[in-house]
Amino acid sequence: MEHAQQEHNVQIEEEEEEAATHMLTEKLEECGIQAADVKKLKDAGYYTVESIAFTPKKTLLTIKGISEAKADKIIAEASRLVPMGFTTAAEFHQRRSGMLQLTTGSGELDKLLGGGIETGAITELFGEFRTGKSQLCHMLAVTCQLPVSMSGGEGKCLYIDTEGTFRPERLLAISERYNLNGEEVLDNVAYARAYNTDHQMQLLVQAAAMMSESRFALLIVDSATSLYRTDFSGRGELSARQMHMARFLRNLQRLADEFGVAVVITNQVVAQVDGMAMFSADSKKPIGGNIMAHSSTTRLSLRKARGENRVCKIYDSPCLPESEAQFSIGPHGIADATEA
Amino acid sequence: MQRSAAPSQSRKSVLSSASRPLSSISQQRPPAQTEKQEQAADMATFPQTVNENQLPVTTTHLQPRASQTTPNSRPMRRSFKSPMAAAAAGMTTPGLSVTCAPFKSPVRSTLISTSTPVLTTATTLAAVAPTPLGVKKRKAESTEAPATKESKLSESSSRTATASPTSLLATKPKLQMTPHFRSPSLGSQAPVVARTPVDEQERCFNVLWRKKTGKKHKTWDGDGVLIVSGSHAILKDMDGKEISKGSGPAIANLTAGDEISFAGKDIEVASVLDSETYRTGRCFLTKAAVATPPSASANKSTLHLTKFKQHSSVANAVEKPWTPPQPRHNPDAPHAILLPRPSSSHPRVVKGGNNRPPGDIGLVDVVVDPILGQYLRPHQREGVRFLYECVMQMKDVNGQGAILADEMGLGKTLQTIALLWTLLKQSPYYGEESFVVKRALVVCPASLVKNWQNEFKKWLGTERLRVLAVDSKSSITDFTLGKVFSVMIIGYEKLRTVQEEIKNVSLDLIVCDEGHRLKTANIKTAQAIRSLSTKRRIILTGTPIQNDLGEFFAMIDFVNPELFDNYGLFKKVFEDPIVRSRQPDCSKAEAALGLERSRELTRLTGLFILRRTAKVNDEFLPPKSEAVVFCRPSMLQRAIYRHMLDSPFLKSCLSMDGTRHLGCIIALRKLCNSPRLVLDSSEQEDDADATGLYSGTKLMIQQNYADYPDSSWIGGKLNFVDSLLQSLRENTAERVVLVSNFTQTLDILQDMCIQRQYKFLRLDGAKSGGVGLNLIGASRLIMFDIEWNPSVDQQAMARIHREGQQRPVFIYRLLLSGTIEEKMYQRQMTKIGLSDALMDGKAAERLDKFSRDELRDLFTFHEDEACLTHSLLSCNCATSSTSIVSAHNRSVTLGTRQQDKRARFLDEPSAEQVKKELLKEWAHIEVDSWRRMVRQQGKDPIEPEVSVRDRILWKVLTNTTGTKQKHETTAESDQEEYVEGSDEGDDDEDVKVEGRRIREGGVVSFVFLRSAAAAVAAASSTVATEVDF
Repeated sequence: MEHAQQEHNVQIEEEEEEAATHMLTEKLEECGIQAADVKKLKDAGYYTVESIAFTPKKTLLTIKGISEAKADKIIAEASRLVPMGFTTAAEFHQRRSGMLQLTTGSGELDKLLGGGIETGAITELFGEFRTGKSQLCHMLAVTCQLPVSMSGGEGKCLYIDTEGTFRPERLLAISERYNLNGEEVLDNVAYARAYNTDHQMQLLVQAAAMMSESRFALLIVDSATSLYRTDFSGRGELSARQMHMARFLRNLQRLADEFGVAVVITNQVVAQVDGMAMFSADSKKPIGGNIMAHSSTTRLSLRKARGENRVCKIYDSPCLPESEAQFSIGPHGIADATEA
Repeated sequence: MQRSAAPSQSRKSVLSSASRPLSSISQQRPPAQTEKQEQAADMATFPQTVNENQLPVTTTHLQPRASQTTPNSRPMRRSFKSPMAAAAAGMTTPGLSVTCAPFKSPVRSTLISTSTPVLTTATTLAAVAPTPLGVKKRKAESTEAPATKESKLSESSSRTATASPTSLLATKPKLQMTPHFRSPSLGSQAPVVARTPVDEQERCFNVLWRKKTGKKHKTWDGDGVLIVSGSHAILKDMDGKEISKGSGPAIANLTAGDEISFAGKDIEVASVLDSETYRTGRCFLTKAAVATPPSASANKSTLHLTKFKQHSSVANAVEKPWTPPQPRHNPDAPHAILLPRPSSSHPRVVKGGNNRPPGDIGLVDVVVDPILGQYLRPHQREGVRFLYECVMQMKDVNGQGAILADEMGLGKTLQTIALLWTLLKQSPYYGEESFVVKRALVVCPASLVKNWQNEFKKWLGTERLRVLAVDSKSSITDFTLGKVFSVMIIGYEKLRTVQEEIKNVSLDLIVCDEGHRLKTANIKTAQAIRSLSTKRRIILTGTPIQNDLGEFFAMIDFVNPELFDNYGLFKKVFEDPIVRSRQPDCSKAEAALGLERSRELTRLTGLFILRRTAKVNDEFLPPKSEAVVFCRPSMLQRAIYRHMLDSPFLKSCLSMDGTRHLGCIIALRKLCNSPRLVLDSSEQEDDADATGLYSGTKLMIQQNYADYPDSSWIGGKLNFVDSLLQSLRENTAERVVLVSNFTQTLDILQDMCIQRQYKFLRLDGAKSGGVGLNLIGASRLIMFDIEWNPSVDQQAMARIHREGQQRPVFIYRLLLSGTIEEKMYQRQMTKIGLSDALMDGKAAERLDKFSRDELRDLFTFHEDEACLTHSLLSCNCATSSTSIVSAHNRSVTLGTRQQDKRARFLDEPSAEQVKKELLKEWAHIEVDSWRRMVRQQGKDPIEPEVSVRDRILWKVLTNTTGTKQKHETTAESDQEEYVEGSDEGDDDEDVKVEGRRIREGGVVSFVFLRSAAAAVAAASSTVATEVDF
């Protein structure tokens, strides 16, 4: 019986290693794709078979060295290995019930979100300055490392910073709250600084590479739109900016689909200076236009309440009702609202 | 430690400086260095961190850039210290640092820590990441360098350092790169010159080519190889075919990355190709090994990240409230099939576990999905439960295999599918994966692969479960590599060919359909299956399991190999004693031992073998009636039969050994079907011996019966079939299946159908009545002739009485009374009786052999008997045709010796059983007297339970079809004596043929009837109305 138990344990370990959610591109070599082509694909940023199967053919053709015939063959092979067909909603429901949700540290906020930040989807946080967007991001960077039984993600975090607001000391402070080893917490966060919008896009390619190798639970882009505001200016460049942003967000969604990570992006707001805005309560709206609006799955707006408290309201969600919750920002991260 | 001191200080420094970085272009990933450099760097940092407020002056303006780059590119390699360093460094700006060079800002401190390594490593640069130059080769080069690295604490800092010198030493790498870059292609001495006398400057390139287009978004048409010699070049595609050739000045100095226009095509040079590869033709082979291992590994290592570091203890986190696990389907639904739980002492059950209350044993109910569960019959529910228990090792057996040996038509496929679906989606162990089986394999005969696929589609649809059915040509990589398919259906032969690939795949369950193929354990197929990795194995088989214990063992050994270690042990412990005990001459002790052993074997195997007979299905299916119809041979048949038996050829068979018996038997059987077959054979036989048999026959026919209109019609069985079909056509719209073992007979039947204008469909060979075929559209089955092996006939008869049949089923077996066919029937009965007694190998063996006496008996023609079989049963119901007794009133005397000493059943206990069955369950109708009585009394004289339920048969037996005579009106009137089935009142006519007084009567002389009880009870009231004369 013990032998069976041991065998069983070994089996579980092996299964865990195998049970990755994605398949690496190298698998295509066994299907008849040449190793040189596999290398080209990887250099272009396609690290998983899923990513290849999900891209349209013309995108693959832009890779240097891939001809049409090859692209056809690669896509055909990749599609055969990845489930891309129909399934019943019952099956899908079953799969979703196993989806992780990352706790935000505040019970109220978690309840508002129906358990926490969803993995596999893009959550957008927007609000004025000082509303706690970056703080929430820092909090999530730590909670994503908690075990699953504690509503964590048991995975690393990838933090892309465009405004230079990343503070590892905050991470340390938050890790003290959970009594975690600060060093390990920091080790589990992959940090990158983006300097312009092209670089921001480029970082996602690297992100894909890293995610295919280790287990990541969260990808934070703080903030996703600040660089766009200055890189593209004026009406003339508006369409270019929106196209670029659309591509960026599409890439984020792709990462969320392939690797099942939670994607959290923060957004800035713009003041509406028309006459109409004076009469409506909320005179600030998030930038990015409709592209941004449609790309994010869940949108949360943050505003300041009294003292350290902040209010989070659901702006747009596929399954959560529009409601509000209060939380507070403290020395040890996000917590429930304090009575001031 | 000095290291730990640094962060706090640097933290302070960061807070005080609060500088903001400018955006700058990030550089490539900094390269790695050799270990020596790292150590040097390590050493360098130590002293530096102490006096961090001092400045080394020289290269400060570079460091921020360097340190800025590193956080972007390699964040994960940071040690605990480094993130602070990196983060702090990230805050600085190059500009700032330049201007602040004299300012002793604490920020510098972090830079200082990287400064010295800069100095040390600058000189010892081996392979350095150059500024991005966009050439693939160089990238490969740069990524190669980190391959040598390992994770070190200060590695980041050293890396930051090495990035900086790149700008300084930009030229250096280039110098280093250039010769390497150029080596294989250019150069005055081409390396493989010695091989061929052709010009020495031949160079080859891998290229992409396309026809010239004016499109905005150009794509490459294909790959190719460009062979350049001098300024002349040839372009070939990947199949080796020449596409174009040309020349030009641009060709002479081609390098990788160039785009040229060449002979009307655009060409981009991808890389240089080794001349040798081209010459040997390797570049055109599909799986040409392009040497990329170094880059592949380098690629991996640059991204070699540490795994996620789990946190061992977490405090203050709110644990998710533990909800008891819910079974996937509602176990309290009305017809839910709840599968048993493993006991708490089961090895895989884990008690407790993370945030489970201590009492919880981690089990959850497993309920069969209602989409299947609602359709399962009770015996199928039982079957699924049984299989589940075996596979989950919940039975007290050291193994995880099972054998499902239900008879045909009981739904083995459905039970298997239900089990598979349950195991694929549910698991009783909570907390692990939510399934027991991830990948399953179904192996079956190649002709049934499609059938299985259709069954899966029928029960589960196409969206729930993706199933891959492998036919002989497709590859199995979709299953082995991908995640789309969970189940693969493969044929036995195909499995053999892909055995190697399958070995690497982890399967969780194997189902072998028609598992009796595994009986012969030596063949490659069985070995291939045996070598598969899983322990959960299920065999499905419909035929009785074994003819001898060795085959039995083979099957057991496949599903539960650890039960009996090897055949030797099994033989010693079980087979030998059991066989010994069945010998007629064994001692009492041996018999007792054998009995004990056989009981034990039955008990052991009963734990994982499940068999039900078709009887369980009877309540769900429409009733089935069987009739064994003994037809009278026609005059011609009788004459020929007699002639054959008297022929010297046959007599010689009896006296000497040899293989002639088979020929004789076949000749007789053919005759029983129709004389025409004998006629045809006599014209075809080349064999000298056989001609002896046939030639005389033919002669005789020609002499005596040449005037017959059409000798093919003159056959007892054919006449009956004719009448039956007629009756069916007139009275019902039912469809009929006619089964025969001889294709020539089918030809005759086909002719008859054509003449009678019945629509028919002919299936020959393997397609007919064989494995797996459903003919449930028909409700009448006529077995025209009989086989030695009862299971063949049983399989054929099971074709129509199975799932999906909606009408009551009637099966007719035709035998010619008094002939060899009756003997075959008797033997079949005995075999059936024996096979139900498990493992009775010896007795079955006896049935396959004939003693000389038996052979002689075989070749005897009992002309006078209405039904020989009936006589042998010594049944009380009259053989003298004066009274007919219903089954219930019969008192059965099981005498062992019959009057007729020439033929007897084997005196085995099971033979007794068979006789009992034949007597109790079947109604015996001696047709002539029965007909008389019907006519006299105007109703069925037999009691309702056993009377002729079958309206059609009734009509035939009572000769009321009326058209019977039609086909014989062509006959001359003086041949009426040979007409079968004469008119009313002619029953007692005796016909004189060749001086012998033969009882001539109806076509049918005797009938055994067995009706399903339900039909009998249901239709009992309608008997009287069916008699119409």
